[in-house]
Amino acid sequence: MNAETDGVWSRLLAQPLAALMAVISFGFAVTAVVLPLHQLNQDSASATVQVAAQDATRNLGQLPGIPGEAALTPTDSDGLTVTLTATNGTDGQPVPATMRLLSEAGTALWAASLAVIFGLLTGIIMRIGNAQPFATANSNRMVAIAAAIVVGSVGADTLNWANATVIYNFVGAREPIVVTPYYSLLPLLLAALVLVLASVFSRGQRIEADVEGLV
Amino acid sequence: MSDVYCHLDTLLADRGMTLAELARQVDVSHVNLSVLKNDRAKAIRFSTLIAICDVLDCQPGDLFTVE
Repeated sequence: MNAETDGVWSRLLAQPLAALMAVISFGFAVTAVVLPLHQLNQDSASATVQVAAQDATRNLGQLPGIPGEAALTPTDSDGLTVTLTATNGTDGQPVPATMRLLSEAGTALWAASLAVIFGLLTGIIMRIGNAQPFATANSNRMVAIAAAIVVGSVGADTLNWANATVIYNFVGAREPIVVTPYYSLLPLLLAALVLVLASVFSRGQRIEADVEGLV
Repeated sequence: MSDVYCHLDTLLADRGMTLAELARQVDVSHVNLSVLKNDRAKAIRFSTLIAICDVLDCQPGDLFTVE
């Protein structure tokens, strides 16, 4: 495949791919807005909590740490991670709006980050389609993608932890139900990989400048 | 600051050769040779220079001057 056909192929592929990325970005942006609004109309809030290992094999309905107004449903096949759903507090008060918002804040932040990431990918693909893969804007976009991954991942994990703590205290749960902070390393590794790619693109831009006008 | 000037048009005219024919013989794109001829090139590969000099039977000094 020579350079000219490669360029045509890139343009033909880039436009629909960029359009797809833009649609996905829009979808995540809508999700980031709709999820918290939807949760505001619910009367409950839920969070992922853990069951201490020695109690993991017991029937969830018979665990001593669950108050009457809360429900547990397993999210793992081994039963160690469960969803704690609260409909009322310890003295019967309804779940406040801020708690219901916090319940979906982590997911909404991830969705917002993904909207930003796919929006930036749209720009990168458009530049590649215009035969400018090593444009400065593309390496800057990659750095922004890495930042969005870190903010989305760490932010969502922190919000989920805060949400679980708030619900745990609100329903008066106790051991063996526990709240454990959890930070996923995979997105951070992905962000590091994207940063490496950004430096590669930055170097490519310098090489391209060197060979510009070379015959 | 001095510039490099290419005399490809003169060499081609002297030999009665077109740019398209030279492009075919040296296996360099017409666009790139046009860039070279119109003094818009910033660098030239040794392989391109050797191929042009071989086809036009000239020396690099015949092709370029620095003014």
